[in-house]
Amino acid sequence: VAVPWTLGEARRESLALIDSVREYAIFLLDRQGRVLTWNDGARQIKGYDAAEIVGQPFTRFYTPEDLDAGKPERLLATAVRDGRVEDEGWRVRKDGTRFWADAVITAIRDDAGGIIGFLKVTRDLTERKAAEDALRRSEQSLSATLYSIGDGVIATDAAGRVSRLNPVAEQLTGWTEAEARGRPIDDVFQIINEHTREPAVNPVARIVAEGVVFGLANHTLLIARDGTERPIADSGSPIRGGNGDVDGAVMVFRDISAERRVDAEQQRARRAEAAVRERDAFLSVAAHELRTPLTVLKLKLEGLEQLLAVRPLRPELADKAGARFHDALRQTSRLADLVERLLDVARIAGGGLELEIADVDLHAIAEGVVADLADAAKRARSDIRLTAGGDCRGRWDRARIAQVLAILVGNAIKYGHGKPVEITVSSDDKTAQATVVDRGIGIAEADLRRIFAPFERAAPSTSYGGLGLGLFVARGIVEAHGGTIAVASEPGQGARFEIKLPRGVR
Amino acid sequence: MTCVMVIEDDPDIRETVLELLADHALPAVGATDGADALDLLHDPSREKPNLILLDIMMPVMNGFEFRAAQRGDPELAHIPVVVLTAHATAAQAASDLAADGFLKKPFDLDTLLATVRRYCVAQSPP
Repeated sequence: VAVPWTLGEARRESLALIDSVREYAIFLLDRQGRVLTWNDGARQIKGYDAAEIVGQPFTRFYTPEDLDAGKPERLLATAVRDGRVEDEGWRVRKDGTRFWADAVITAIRDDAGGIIGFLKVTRDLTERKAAEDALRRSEQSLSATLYSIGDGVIATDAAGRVSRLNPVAEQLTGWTEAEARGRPIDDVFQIINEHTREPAVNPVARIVAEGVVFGLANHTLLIARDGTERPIADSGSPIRGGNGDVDGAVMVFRDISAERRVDAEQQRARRAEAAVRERDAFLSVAAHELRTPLTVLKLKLEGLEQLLAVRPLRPELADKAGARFHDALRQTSRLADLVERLLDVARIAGGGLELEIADVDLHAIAEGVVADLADAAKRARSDIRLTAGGDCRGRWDRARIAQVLAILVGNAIKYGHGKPVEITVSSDDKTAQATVVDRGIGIAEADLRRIFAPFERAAPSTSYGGLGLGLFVARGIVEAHGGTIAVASEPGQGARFEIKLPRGVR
Repeated sequence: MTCVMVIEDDPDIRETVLELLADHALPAVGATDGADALDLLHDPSREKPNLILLDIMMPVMNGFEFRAAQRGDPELAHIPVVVLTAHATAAQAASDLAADGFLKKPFDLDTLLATVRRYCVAQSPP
């Protein structure tokens, strides 16, 4: 080793020792940064033989980026100023490959304090750097997972002190990770039994003690720092270190308020559906049961009427009796209609409406309905006008379509304020339509949507009777024919109902 | 002679129908259920009716069971059956029973009489 300045014996021995060190590149630079000495470690780490590198500037160990940034010069300047400088960074080997180096440069001064050169000690930390990078990546990946997970996560050490808190846990507990770190888990994760409101057993201690996976009991409420209570579901697991010992616990939990709400809503919906099914089943049974006494009542009245016809009363009573029989029979028919209407609701709601399809004429049906309702119209002092245009035949269930028109015309009479009711029947190639227009009380916009639902009515039940089933039944029948029913109305302006029926329905 | 057999468990309906048929000189006999009806029909001292009015929902032996037994009996199979029903789907019930027709409750007197007269002739003016 050639050194241009004088070294004592001890120093020479030191250099000999240095020469044999393999894990470190140890060499001297002159004032300008040129390599003066080269040990075996330097050869191993950097790849140059002494003959190749001695006398060369040390800048060739640096990457182009560092050279552009003036790093080698800056390091020497710092060493001059501070006596030594340490730097970690990429360096370049003789073969162009890079290694991660930890280098210490120490300024060497003469007795007068002038700089005479530098001692540079470099370690190859590539493997350590790779291990650190891997650890950092793993840590970053873990953090990213932890911080983006949709559940709350709290990790504790073996003593039950909080070590980590992800953002969801921050939100649910009201504690920030920075505030919570180091605190006992019970401070941060306060849980009580929903029913007893007694503190619930915090599972961390047991997880740590027994190394078991632990689920929270049902009906656990988490009390946030601001007092907000949330039902949570959670589980906890031990964290095991490299030797298998339990180093801590991790609690994973989530707010189940929304699930609870959905469950409750589903339960309500199920109950409502069951109630509707029960209602329809009841209607069906009730209608069936009502028919028996109705049958008897009707037959008895008719039999009595015939008997009276055979054996007349005294003339002064005969007219009165005849009128009363007529009324009694009419009321029986009304009762029978109501029973049928109830049964229709059950049929329509249950999708069990059966149609007896035949070639029928909508105009003729409308005429029949007008004739049937003539009495009712007369009592209401309403004038019914029927206008028909063209061929209105189609394939429908005659009785059911008559029922629809009877419902619409019946409503028009009922709510028509004694003003004329106009029925128009018309058709084109594919569709027949009937409109029923009254000039009565009309329907508010808010009510228009619901009047086709069962048991709904727009008119006050204090002023107008009825079950509120007519339009529901009418819609059910029209839709069973593949048709549509629509309404236009304004309060005080009357209402216009329109049905459209495809003519070829089968 | 017996013109019509009314098989109906509801006494009000059964007696009313019998009473009204009697009013119109259409002799009828009542049975409370299918089994009762079979007993009467198998009674050699009784004349077979021209028509059976048959309720469906009855205790002991319902309309379906009666109809099956009747159709399986060569002596009874020929007697026409009209179903009396409060069922929503009366036509369907009649067809399921291979019946000759149906009267849907509540039916009126004129319909009842017209149906019965298709099978029976009045004995004498009422």
